[in-house]
Amino acid sequence: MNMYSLLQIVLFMVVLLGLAKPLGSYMAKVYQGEHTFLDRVLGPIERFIYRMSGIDPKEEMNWKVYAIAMLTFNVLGLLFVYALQRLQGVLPLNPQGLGAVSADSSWNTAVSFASNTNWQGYGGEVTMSYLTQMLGLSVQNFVSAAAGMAVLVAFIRGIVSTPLSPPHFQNSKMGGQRGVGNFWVDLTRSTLYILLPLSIVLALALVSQGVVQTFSEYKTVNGLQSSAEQNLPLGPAASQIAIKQLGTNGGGFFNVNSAHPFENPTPFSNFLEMLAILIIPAALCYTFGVMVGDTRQGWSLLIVMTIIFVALLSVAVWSEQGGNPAFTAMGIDQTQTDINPGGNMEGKEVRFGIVNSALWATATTAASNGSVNAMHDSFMPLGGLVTMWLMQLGEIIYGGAGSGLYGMLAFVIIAVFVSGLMVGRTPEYLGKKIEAYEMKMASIMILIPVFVVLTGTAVALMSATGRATIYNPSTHGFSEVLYAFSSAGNNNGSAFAGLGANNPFYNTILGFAMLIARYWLAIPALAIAGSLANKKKVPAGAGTLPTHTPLFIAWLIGVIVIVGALSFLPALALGPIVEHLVVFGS
Amino acid sequence: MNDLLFIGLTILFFTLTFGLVKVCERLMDNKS
Repeated sequence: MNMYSLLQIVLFMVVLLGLAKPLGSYMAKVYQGEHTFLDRVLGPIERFIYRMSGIDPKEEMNWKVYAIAMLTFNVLGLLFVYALQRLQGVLPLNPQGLGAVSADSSWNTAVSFASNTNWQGYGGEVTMSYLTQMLGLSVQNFVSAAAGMAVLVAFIRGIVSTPLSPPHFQNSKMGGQRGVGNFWVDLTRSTLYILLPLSIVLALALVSQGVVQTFSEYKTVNGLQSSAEQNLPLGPAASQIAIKQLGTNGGGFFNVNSAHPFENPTPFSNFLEMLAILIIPAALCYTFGVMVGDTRQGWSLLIVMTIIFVALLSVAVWSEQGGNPAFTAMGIDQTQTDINPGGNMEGKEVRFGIVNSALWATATTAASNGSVNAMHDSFMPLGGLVTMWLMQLGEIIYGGAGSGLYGMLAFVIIAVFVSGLMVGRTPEYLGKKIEAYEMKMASIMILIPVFVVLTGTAVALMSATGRATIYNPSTHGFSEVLYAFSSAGNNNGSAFAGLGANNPFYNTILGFAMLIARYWLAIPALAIAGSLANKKKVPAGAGTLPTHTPLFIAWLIGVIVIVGALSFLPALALGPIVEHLVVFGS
Repeated sequence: MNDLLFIGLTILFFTLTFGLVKVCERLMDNKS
C-alpha cells in the first residue's frame, strides 16, 4: 500500500469521525424534541402529518404498544411493496413496459426492503418500473431506516427513564409502565428531520458528479469500440442512491449497484457514498451519549466500532493489495505503481482501485448497507472473510441505522453482566441494574442471527435445490451460500454473487432469514427498553464498572470478537480459510 | 394462488412475531 492509498483511508476516517459529533448533536435535538434550524420549514409539515394521521404526538407508548405499532407499520409496507411489484405492468411510470415481477421474487424484495436488508435477487434495470423503484423501494429505504432509528431511540429512553412517581402511576394509561416514546413521532421525525434533508443534499451532490436522475426511457447508442448497439438504462437513480446509502439500505437502482457508472461515476461520488454509508450509524453513537447525559459513553462505543473496523479494513486492503498467485503465474504484473493499482483487480472498477474497493466492502458489510462498488465474489479469500465476518458479528460495527447501535448495546449488556459476575456484584449499566431478564433478551438478540445463518446455510447445502444453483464448486461455492445467509440473516443485503438466488427456494428461505433477523431482534430490544424504563437509577458506587474507560473498551472488543469467533470460525474454516490455504498452498 | 401463499406466509410470520411480544411481556411480568 502506497502513501496515496493510506491518505485516502486516513482522510475518510477523519471526515467520518469529524462529522459524528455535529450530526449526532443534531439528531439528539431531533429526538429530544428540541429546537433545530429546520423547525421553521419542517415544523408545519410535521404537524400536518400528525393532524392528517390522527396522531397525538404527546402520547407516550409503553414498549409493547411501541412494538405493535412498528410491526403493523412494517407489515402494511411489506404488503404494499409486494402488490406494487405484482401490478407494475398496469401501473404508470413504466416506459420500458416491464411486466409483473414473479410472486416469489416480489415477496423476497418486499421483505428485503421493509426489513432494511435490500438483498436483491433481481436486476433493477430489467425488472422494476420507475414507479416501483420510487414509490415502493425508495419509500421503504426511508421508512425502514427510520423504523430502526426509532427502535434505538426507544432503547435509549429506556436507559434514561426512571419509574413514574405515585400520582403519575395512578393516572397512567399504561398500567403504571413508563413509556419509551411514540413510534409514529420517532418515525416521522427520523424521516423528516434527518433522512430527507441529508438525502436531498447528497442526491444533488451525486447528480453533480453524473449520477442519472430522469424519467426518460432507456437510450440506444452505438458503442465507441464497436458498431454494436447498446441499451443504456436510465431512471430516477440519484434520489434512490442517496437514501440507499444514508439509510444503510444498499439496494442498487441498477443490477451491479454502485459499480455502475450511472450510480457511482467518480472517485468523489465514491467518497461521498462511502461516507453516507457510515455517517448516521457513527453519529448515532454521539446521539446516544447526549441522550444518556454522558457523551463519553457514546465515544467509547464509537471507539470500539472504529478499532474493529480499522483492524478488519487493514486485513482486507492487505489481502487485496497482495495480489493473486494465479495472476502471477499468468504473467500479470500486480505491482502497485503511480499508474497501476496493482494487487487483485479482478471484479474491481479501475476508477476506484484496490483501496476504495476494499474500504467500500468493509464499510458496507460493517454497516448493514449491502451496496457494492466491486464484486465481493472476486475478492481474495481473506478479503471475502473480512466481509463475511463483519456481517456475522451482527452488524454492530457501526451497523444499520439504529439497529447497529441497539445490537451493540446488547453486547454491552453481555459484557457488563459477565464482568459483574467476575467481581461478584450485580451488574449495572448507566445506573440501571442488569438482571436475568435483560440478559435473556440480549442473548436472544445475539443468538438469533447465529441460528438463522448457520441453519439456513446447512439447509441450503443439504438440499438438492439449494445446491443446484451454486455456480462455483468446492470451498468457494460453500462461501457463496454462507455469505448469502450471513447477509440475509444479519439484514446486510450484499451478495457474494456466483449463487443463483432468484428462485422460489432461495427467495423464500432468505426472505424468512431477513424477517427473523430484523423483527425478532427489534422485539427483545424494545422489551429491554421497557424493562429498564421501569427500574430505578442506582447511583454509581466504588464497585460500579465504568463503561467509558480503555479497560471497558478492550473488554467489550474481547466479548464481541470471542462471541463472533466461537459462533462462526468453524463455518469460516470450511469456506474462505480453506480456500486461502488452497490458493497460497499451491 | 402464489399470491395467497406469500401473503399467508407474511401473515403467519407476523402472527408469530406478535406471539413473541406476548412471550417477552409474560417473562417480564413473571420477573416482577
